[in-house]
Amino acid sequence: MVVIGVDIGSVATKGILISDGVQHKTIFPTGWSPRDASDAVIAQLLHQSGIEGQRVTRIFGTGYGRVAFDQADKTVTEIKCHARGIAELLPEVRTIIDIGGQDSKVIRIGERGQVVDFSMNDKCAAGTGRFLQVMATALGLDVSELGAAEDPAQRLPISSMCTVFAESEIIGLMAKGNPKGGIVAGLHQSVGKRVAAMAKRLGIKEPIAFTGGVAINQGVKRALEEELGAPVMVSEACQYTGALGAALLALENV
Amino acid sequence: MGLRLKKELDGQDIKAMISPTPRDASKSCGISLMVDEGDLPLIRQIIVENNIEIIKIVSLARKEWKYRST
Amino acid sequence: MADYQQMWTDLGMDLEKHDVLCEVLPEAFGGVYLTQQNRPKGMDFYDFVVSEIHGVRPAEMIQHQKEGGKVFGTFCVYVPDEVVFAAGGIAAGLCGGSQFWVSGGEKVLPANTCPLIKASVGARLDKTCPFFLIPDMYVGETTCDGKKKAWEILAGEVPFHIIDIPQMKRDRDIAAFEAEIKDFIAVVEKVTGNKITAESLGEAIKLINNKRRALQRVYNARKASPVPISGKDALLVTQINFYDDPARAAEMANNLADELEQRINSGSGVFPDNALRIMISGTPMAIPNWKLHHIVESLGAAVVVEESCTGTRYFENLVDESATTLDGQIRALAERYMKTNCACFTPNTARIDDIVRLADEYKVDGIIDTNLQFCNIYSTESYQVKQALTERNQPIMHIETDYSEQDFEQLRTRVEAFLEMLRK
Repeated sequence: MVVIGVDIGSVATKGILISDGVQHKTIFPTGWSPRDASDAVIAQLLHQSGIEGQRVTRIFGTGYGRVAFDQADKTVTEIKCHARGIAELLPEVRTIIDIGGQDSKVIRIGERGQVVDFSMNDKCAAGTGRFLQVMATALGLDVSELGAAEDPAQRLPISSMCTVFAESEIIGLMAKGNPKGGIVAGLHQSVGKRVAAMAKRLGIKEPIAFTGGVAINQGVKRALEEELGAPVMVSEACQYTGALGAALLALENV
Repeated sequence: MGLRLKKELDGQDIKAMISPTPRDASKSCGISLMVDEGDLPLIRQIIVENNIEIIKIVSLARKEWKYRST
Repeated sequence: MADYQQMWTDLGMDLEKHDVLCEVLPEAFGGVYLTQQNRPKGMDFYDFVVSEIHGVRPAEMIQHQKEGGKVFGTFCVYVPDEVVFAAGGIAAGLCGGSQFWVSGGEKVLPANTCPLIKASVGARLDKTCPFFLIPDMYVGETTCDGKKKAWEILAGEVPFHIIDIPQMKRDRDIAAFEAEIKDFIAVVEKVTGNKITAESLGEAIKLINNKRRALQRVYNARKASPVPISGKDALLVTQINFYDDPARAAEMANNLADELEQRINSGSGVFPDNALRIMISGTPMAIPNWKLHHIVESLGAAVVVEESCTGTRYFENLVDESATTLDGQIRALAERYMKTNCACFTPNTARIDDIVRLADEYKVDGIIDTNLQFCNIYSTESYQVKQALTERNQPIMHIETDYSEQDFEQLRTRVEAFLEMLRK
């Protein structure tokens, strides 16, 4: 059987095709059109695997752009998909921290990868990838460079949680000649603190996994571990967790 | 008046929906009944027979709602 | 349909601005309400009231004033309507539920004020709602700091009376509320020029109790599976009851309940009998705030009960009708109103007991505990609510939101994930 899972995030659209147990994956920027991005992902997956479109049994969609995804046979929330994806990648995990482009989530999962409880940030960019994106721009960096740019030894506290205020705060810190690495470490701490607070409120059960695009950033992982006082696991495929979950749910047809 | 007509139509099993008047029909901010165009001849007859006062009948394209229940 | 332009002009409304509101109503109501399948016929009346929302009831109120009657605008289920009707007045709940009015409120209120207060103040200051311009007096209360300070601003616009709501529920607090009712009676007597007697208050108590009994019947019908009425429709019934004539409101709700009971007998409903059953608890949803109900129900789950001021808190308890003296009636009123469990009280564990009981009575699969943004008391209480329900293995999710559409998609994801969790 051939199935596809597509996770249409606010920043990137991820796809996984599973054909007789073999996985193919790809990623595209979502850009302005979630529909175009998902079309591109599916075309690329078919091209990569050499499989004809007619052989695809089911396509499941997830992520914030799923509503516009008309090729999907079914759409599922990213919460359920992340739970299913992690159950495959890191089966021992009981708590998932997912930080994506526009929201962050904490998901507690049971032994079969089922969602036990979850929480999501309210309408605010603090503690999300969006927050880091805005700060990276203010620092003249690309968001992908933040992880390597931090210098925890010189960490400066960023007191503002609000994206708008934090931006002017770091501009002020730079104007005073503070080292960029120290500011970046402070930003990571701010995200870690915010998300850890949300996780503690929900209740954490170890082991903990960190998923979503922001999980690539080693600095946020470090900050999260410090704030949670517990180790955090990051799968190599962290960015694809949702797409994998969608593909597996499509395989199981649930 | 709108309610009276609705009752008469209900009595004869003619489908009608009470609705705020769509803006493309009138700027009146009041009640109107949405009915199927096919039922119109019969509805006109009921209006006359029961002496119900209406402002006008307007034909509108079936619309796509921005929010839907299903 | 009558032409209300003259009436609105006479009220001093800003017609141009008001027209913008008139423009969005058919679209919002049409999409949210009229696309529902198999609605009860008894909803026709409520559809009619919404269709002429700023016309038909305001016209009745103005007629009442022309005949020498007075109209009182209220903002809370703690205000005893019985007193107003006993003096031949009309009481009407005024709370604003539309984002349309929020910016008007923000002109004078801090941004971190709850949307209900912002909308209520904005509706008055912008002169875009007839209900806010008609009353001879506003009756405020002290249920939260935001409201208390907002009253001071509105008091510059219209005569104001404020009822001091106790913050605890000891015997002396009930006695204090009794004294507040006595003060309120004196104020209402003065404004209306009518004396309240044991006879008139007794009648008013029966009048309002009858409305409560009718709403209880509608809600009881929602305990059935399949549920015979959507949560959105039930919410609309409650919302309109806040300002409709109480006798007519009772009649219409009773008619609707008759139909719902017939539906239960024939096993017909508006959702399949395996649809998830959801309770919404928390802050009130003033008309036309249908946002959360719409999200839940368009995802295929049924809202079967609201533990809120626009739900069970509005009608659950009846006033004892046996008292024959004014003092006895006032005591009965105080006792009834002080049974309402609002987060402005401390402690407020009885509200948690209510949620637990309702979850059982209405056989709910999950609870969405919600509060309007910046409502500090309900937001704080949500922690205790969640703890208590989680202990009982009752799935619960907390949502904080406002009247805007900005977070619509995000909320949909959260609600959808919650429903997925319940379906497993």
